[in-house]
Amino acid sequence: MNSGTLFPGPDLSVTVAGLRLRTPVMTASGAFGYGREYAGLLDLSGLGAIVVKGTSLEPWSGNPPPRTVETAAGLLNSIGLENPGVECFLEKDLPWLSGLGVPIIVNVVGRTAAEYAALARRLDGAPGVSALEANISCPNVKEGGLAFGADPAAAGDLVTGMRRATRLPLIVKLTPNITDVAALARRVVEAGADAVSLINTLVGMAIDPEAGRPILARGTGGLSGPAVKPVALAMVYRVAATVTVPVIGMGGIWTGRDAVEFLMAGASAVAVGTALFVDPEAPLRIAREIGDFMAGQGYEKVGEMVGLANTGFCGRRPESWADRPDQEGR
Amino acid sequence: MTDERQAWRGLARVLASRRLEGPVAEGGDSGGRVYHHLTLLAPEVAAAAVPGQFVHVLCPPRGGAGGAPYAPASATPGLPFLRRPLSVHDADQARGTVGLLFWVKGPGTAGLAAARPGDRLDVVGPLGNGGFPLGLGPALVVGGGIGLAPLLFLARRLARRGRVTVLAGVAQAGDLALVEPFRRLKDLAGLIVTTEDGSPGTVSGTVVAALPESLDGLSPDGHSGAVYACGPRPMLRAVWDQVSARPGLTAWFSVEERLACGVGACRGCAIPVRTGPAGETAYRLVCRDGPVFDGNLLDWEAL
Repeated sequence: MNSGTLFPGPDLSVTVAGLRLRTPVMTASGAFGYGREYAGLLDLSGLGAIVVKGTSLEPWSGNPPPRTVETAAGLLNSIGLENPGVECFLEKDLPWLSGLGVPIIVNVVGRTAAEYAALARRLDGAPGVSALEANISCPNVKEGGLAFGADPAAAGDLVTGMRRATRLPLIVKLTPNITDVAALARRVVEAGADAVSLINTLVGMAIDPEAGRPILARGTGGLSGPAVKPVALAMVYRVAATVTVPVIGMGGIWTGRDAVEFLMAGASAVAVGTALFVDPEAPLRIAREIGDFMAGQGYEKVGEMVGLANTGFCGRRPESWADRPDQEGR
Repeated sequence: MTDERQAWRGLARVLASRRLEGPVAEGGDSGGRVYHHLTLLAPEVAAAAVPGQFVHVLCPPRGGAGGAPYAPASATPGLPFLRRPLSVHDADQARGTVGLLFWVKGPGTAGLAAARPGDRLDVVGPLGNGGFPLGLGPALVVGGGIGLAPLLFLARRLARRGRVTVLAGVAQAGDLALVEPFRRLKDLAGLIVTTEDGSPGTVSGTVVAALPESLDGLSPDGHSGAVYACGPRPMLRAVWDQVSARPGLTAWFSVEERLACGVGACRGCAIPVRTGPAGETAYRLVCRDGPVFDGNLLDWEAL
């Protein structure tokens, strides 16, 4: 695949869970809607992949407002996975999305493990769906989401059920709101996940001092944005050192250098969420900045950076590159 | 879902930047609220915008951007990074300019207020649905405080079509600068200004207290015409209480909610609406479905 005129310079393409991505930068679920919302504000064909908003079997109405509040270098949200349901997605959004020539990854969410499996079955073979991302990490809904994601055994059973229901590549999105993210990652990979993505948002709160109550209607929300990047990076580093499947890293990525940090921590690709709200072209800009960094540092392929900082802190050894075991070999 | 919209995103040059100065009340206290007006050169936005729509503006860090836009790549800790939605105060298609009027409320708007002529601001817009529907009958435009911002553009467009009265309320003398642009509007059938501190030349009280008389005067029977309102939620609710008691009137409200993406992607700016006669409710998005809503649609009890 040629990066072409959008991304002159080094080859930015990567392969993750069998998906060939033009760049390692995809959109993070929830921040990009169903893609169409941003049409006209960026060239969607230049995205590594589009990960659509969390989609359930039936329409979900979401949480009462207020749903968002900005905090220092961060954004708290409590959307509650509002979405029009999988049938609406298949009928109205997927035909449009599948014409873009970009891998489409459907983020799925349910109230029970059976619903996740039913979604996997429904989307299996749907023309234009490239992969599924199981959202078992939303902090803003009672059932589903975090109820599974914070319990490795429950998460494993859920993934097993989905694995049986679909041949699509299966990505599992992990929560940072857990003591041992590596144990969780190990369990979902054992259950059949082809890749893991992290981090989802961190549970947080903001209080209105005059009103004397939390600003968000549900009290807590999920924190994203630059404030969470160091936490995300440490968790990606930990998980990448634990599992053999590709890791998709996200959490506060704003620049190409941020993305490179995630790649060097062991992510094979990255996702951009909150930055989209500030810069709708952020995924394209970040991909270009990764290319600029690679050109400046003499990297020819993205894979040369993946996990570089995650090999016992030995850093870059270009001359002995061939000696370095690949990620699968660790 | 809605069709793809064609909002413009680019760097708009600041042509003018001025702090609004109003008559200061005796004792010199302006109430502490500072308002600011920016004129941007943004022909694409000026050409496309209709009254009620907004632009989403990246706030430069306070201290001036020195002609350079605030790079989206820089999220400076302690400074706000999300865009700020600002209603289109006025738009001049011929000149390609867009006016923005805002309350300098926090560090984000303070950064905007520090913009100097020649600076460039990163703007996305116009955003929002089709704005205030413009009818042909008599119109009453009701605004409270900074809620007056989107109503100048509206009143100007309405005045081309028919009889328009503006009912503008502010808290105190120091806020009267918000009303000044309406005084310069031609062809208004009337301008009634209320102040809660009873400033000279104004009606003492709120727009809510002055509303019955304005509604009586809207049409001979007091039961036809359109009401357009923007302001604090309690004001909007009070306006709806009065308007809905007069069958035959239609009313359109510009509603605020905290918003993040501005384009309908994040679903952050939900407000409750009524979707059926049996009290069914749902959420609509202020950024995509609004910010202007038919009063009949809004779920006033939950709002």
